[in-house]
Amino acid sequence: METVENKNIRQKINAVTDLPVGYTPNLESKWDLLEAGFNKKENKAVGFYIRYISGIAAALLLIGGAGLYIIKNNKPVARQVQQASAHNEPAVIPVIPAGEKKTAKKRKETNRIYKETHPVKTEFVIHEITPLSDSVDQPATIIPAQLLLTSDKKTARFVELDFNEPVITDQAPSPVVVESKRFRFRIGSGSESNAGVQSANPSSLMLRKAFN
Amino acid sequence: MNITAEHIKQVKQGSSATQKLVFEGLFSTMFRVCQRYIVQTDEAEDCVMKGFLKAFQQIEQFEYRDEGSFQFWLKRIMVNEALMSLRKKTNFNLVSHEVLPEVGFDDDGIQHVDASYLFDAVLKLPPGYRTVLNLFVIEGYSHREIADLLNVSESTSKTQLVKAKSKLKKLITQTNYGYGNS
Repeated sequence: METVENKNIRQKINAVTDLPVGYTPNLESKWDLLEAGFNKKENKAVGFYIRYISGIAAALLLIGGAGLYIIKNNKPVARQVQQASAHNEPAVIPVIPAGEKKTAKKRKETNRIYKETHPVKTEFVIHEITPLSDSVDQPATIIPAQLLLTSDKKTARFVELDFNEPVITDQAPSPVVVESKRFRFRIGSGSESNAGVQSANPSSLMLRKAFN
Repeated sequence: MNITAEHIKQVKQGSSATQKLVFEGLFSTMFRVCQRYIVQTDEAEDCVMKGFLKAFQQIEQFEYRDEGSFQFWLKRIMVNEALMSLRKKTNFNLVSHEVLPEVGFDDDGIQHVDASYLFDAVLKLPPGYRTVLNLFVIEGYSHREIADLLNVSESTSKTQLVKAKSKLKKLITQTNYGYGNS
């Protein structure tokens, strides 16, 4: 309950509303200060939103750039081959040097082991592909690798060539059908200038299984 | 200065001229409110400026009821600003929790004291006493609310009030402001 005493004190204190004697503030300049404070606060708010939005944009750009970089550097082999052939460069196909035939199950297991142990992967450059003839008299037809690899097919390994009507022209290559089931690949790890050296090498790999 | 509904409407619409009018009209009153808590003139002035800035920024939250409602709302903002400033440098929890018997003024004794003398006497009180006296007697807060505001116990608030009144009586008597000379 409020006492009379408190009421009297409150009334007297509240009655004092004039500025103290000797204190005469310049209200114009005070108001200017206050207005400046308003603008500062507003600018701060605007600045915050600008920083916020630009931060999000920068983050999106970074993520997009990183995504593009990852996509560019993780292309499937067939796409790399297509691109390389479009630029008239020797195609580089990663080949795991394993000559033996394996069942699907074993291959799966190998893949799993490959993922786990990260064995060294060797890249070979295919310079030319020679279909293996059954008779010794029949000369082997040499098909430039680019012709094979610029096929419309997505996977270069499944391109078929027709040797009855071989299409070997300087113009844009077209897919051909292959009769022979066996091919000899002359491969090397360098550029096309090393092709002769590599072809003389008796240890050229036979990548038959790729076309079986 | 009486603040009308039209003033508030214009302030809410962002009228700089009306804002200035309100600022100039209420500056001295609000300065006195802040000065009751913060004695130093420059600090009290800072408190007023911060209070007005906050009030104009939060004007949308204010609902006009009558002519005194804006002044009451603005006073609350000023008191909060003053308390925020005081909390930074004053420890309100220094006195003992011993509850003292209330020492009152004579029934009509306070009426003989001049208002400005009483105001000056309040400014001479120590910060803890002055704050509790202001909050309890002038702003009308309860001891529980004061305890929450100042982060002290309720009994501390009560003790501070008793000591504040006792000290105020002494000050008024010593300076011969007319009190006790009946």
